[in-house]
Amino acid sequence: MLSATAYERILTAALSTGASYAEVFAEDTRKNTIQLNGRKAASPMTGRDYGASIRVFFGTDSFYAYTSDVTEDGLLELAAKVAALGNGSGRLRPSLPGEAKPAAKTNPIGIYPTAIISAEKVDILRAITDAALAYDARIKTANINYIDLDQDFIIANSDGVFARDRRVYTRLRVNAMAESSARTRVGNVNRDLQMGLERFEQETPRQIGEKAAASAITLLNARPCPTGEMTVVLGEDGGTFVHEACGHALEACRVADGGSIFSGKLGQQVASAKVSVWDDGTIPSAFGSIDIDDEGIRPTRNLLIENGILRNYMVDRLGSLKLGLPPTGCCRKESYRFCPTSRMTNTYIQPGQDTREDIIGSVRHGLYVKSVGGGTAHVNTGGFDFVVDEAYVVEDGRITYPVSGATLSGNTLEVLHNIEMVGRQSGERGPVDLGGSVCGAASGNVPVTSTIPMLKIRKLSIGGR
Amino acid sequence: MLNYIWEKVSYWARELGADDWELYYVDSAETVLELPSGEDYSVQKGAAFRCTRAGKTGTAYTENFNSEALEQMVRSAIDNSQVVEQGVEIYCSSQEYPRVPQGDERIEDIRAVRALHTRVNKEIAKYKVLSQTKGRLVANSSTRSILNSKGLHVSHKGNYAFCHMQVTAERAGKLNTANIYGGGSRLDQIDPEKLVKRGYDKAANYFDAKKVPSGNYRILLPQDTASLIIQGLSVFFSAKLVLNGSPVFAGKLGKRVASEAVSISNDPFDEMGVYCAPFDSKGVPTRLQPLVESGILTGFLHSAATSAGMDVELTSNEERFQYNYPADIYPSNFKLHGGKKDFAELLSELGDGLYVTELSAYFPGHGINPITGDYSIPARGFAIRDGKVGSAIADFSIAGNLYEFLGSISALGNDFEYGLPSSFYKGGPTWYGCYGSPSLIVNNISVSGVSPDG
Repeated sequence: MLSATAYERILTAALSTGASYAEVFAEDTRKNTIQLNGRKAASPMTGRDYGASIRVFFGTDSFYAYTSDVTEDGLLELAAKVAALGNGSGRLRPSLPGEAKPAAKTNPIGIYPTAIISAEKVDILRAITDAALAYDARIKTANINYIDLDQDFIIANSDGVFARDRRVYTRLRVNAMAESSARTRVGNVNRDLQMGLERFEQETPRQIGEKAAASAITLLNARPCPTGEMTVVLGEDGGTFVHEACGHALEACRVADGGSIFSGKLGQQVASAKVSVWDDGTIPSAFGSIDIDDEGIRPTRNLLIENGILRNYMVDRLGSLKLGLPPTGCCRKESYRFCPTSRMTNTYIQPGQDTREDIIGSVRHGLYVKSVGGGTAHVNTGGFDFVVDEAYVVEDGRITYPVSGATLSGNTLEVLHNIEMVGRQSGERGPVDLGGSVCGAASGNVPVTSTIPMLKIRKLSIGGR
Repeated sequence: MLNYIWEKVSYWARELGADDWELYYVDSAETVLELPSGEDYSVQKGAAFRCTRAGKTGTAYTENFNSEALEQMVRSAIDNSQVVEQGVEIYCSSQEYPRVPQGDERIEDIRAVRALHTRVNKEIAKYKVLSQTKGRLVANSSTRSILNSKGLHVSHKGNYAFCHMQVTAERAGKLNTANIYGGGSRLDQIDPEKLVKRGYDKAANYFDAKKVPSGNYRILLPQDTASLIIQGLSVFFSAKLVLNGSPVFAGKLGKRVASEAVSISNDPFDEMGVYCAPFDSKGVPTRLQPLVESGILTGFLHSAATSAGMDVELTSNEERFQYNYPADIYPSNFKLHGGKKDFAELLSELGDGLYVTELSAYFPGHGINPITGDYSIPARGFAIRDGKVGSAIADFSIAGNLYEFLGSISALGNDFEYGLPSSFYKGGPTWYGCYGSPSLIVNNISVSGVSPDG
């Protein structure tokens, strides 16, 4: 990593044509990827991502460049190239402290994965496969994708920020394949954590393998999902709903140019009065938490929707300039290769007062969606959709048989108003599930969590066969 | 730089007891011009190292080329080799490399790319309702080199450019969008007039969409939308998936898997696609690969490991999305071949049905089950009655199984094009390959909309 004075020279070069802001982000990241097909390890890969980016603002125009040449000369050349893209009247002279200030840690790590060799990790992953295979004779195989990532980064900017932090993640995708009577079904466990290998002490390989296997066996007996519009109860593993249905549309980068259905609606009723939505990057050890964001700002507890009223957006530095709202510490990017922007951290719907029994009991005919997969959102039209992993038909207030093969879709403003019941906080879990997944959007794949209590939605579109 | 890295890694490979080794090195530059405005630049250099020791293979990569980092890369690769049960032989070339189309140098000329950017913006400005349209024009030039201890030293520069727009139409405060893509190995394959008009014709006509009664329909997919389904289908041609237990094509080699009209191939020489190259990431010479011929499954895409596992000839499908991703099986330019009918003939042949022009989920893991091929994909489009495009339709999903989809294709247009690869939209999954199709008529597609009585 370069010295403070080198960063000052690079920032000075980036500001040389009158930019109103300049920032350097440099990272040195260690990454391990292991795939297990059955019990066989395939293509384990260890790597080092090493690069830097420079971003400048001329008013609200932003320019970005990156390189894997992290020498002072390489970055001075890049700074000159970025500076040449604009012409402003700024006269900033950056001044940095002598050393990068370590960010205050809210996400402690137990066993750093970079300290453990691949062979030990493969042994843990094989225990997951073994547990899945032992669960039921109909489980034919299991496939696992494991990634650990240890990112050491520095941010220096023209406001005098000179900060350093380290983020460690372990990501796990398990699918167990069940076969019976020429039917094949797959059960998934996708669990990404901001933890080291101590994660396997909290949830053992055996528990993970059995969970994936149990899901596959359940789906083996599943009938095709009924389709059309119906009442849907979303279970606590349905957090993708809050992420796709309203999270993306509340990001300042989408709101600022009038491109979101929430643009210009601060203070307005946008959801049922039972709905309050937060984005909170400060929750210790949650997958979406950060000590500082990718422009050096501390994260906040950000109340987005309060009892159905729109209160705030997720705001980055550029969004702050465009919207006139303070940054909320949520500017994020996957790596130096991506220009940062406003993104979610830990997004959740605040638990309400309804019991699980009352919610299920109130449905005459509908669908109980236990867990969901990935989804998409169209923030300017409000359209969203996500995949159902495991669901059950509800008849006369009782959960009946499992169904599979469905996609849920709807329109944000309509669906948020259609939330009729909001469940209580689960006894085992706080308002936020610490485990999450990566969200892929404009600034790459960033870690997030998305949590909901049980919700009853009066009407959603269900697609399937 | 390349020679320095090769000498360093070769030294450490010998020191640490590797039997054979391979260096994969990429030097790339990319310009991204945002629509309507904004510019990003990048310069990237990175190396992946693969070695075999005692018959086992390990891989590592780095973007840091100092002596300590290169030594660490070799040590990590050797550590990783100890956890696999089987190795992959480092490739020994005895074959000629094919000639591929020369990279278009205008893609490296920032003035030419900026001029094209201006033309796209001007074209958008011709349509007042499209003022909220956003997108980006990307110009990429990458040189990749492969050196190995068996004497291989090959290098190739590939250039590509593409334009991806979210064409957004506004009417009375309401917005509708259409994803539009154009790209290839030549800059002039991006036609601003055609792309923007295509986006306008979709987005501006999506207003006042009606709901569709659930049922089974014949559907017409335009070439850009059909190519998304073809991308979803492509993964089932990976021999690895077959060996890992996917039932979609298991045991079907030499058998009918699609209607007779269907032929599919992988074509690394088609400059309409973005991935043209004389060799894959191991250095294996590329070739045109027929995969389905007149409905009969004739081949799979292979890596060295799967070709050994199935005891078939090694093919050139081992690719890396980038040096920092593991090598896996990917196509280069994957295409469902076009037919003879123009679009008017397809409309007439369809008669009554649905013209499905937008799909919002179309890749394995999202909308498509990566093991079984079952899909359920939210869609939009237009009703077709008596061979004429009618009112817009929305809030419905198409569903089925991709294997059955292949068998239900009844007509193919003469308008083949490559569509938007999922890795080319921001935040999309990082997969190698581009995917193309003509417009298609597909029979008996299950559509979930509203109940037929309401």
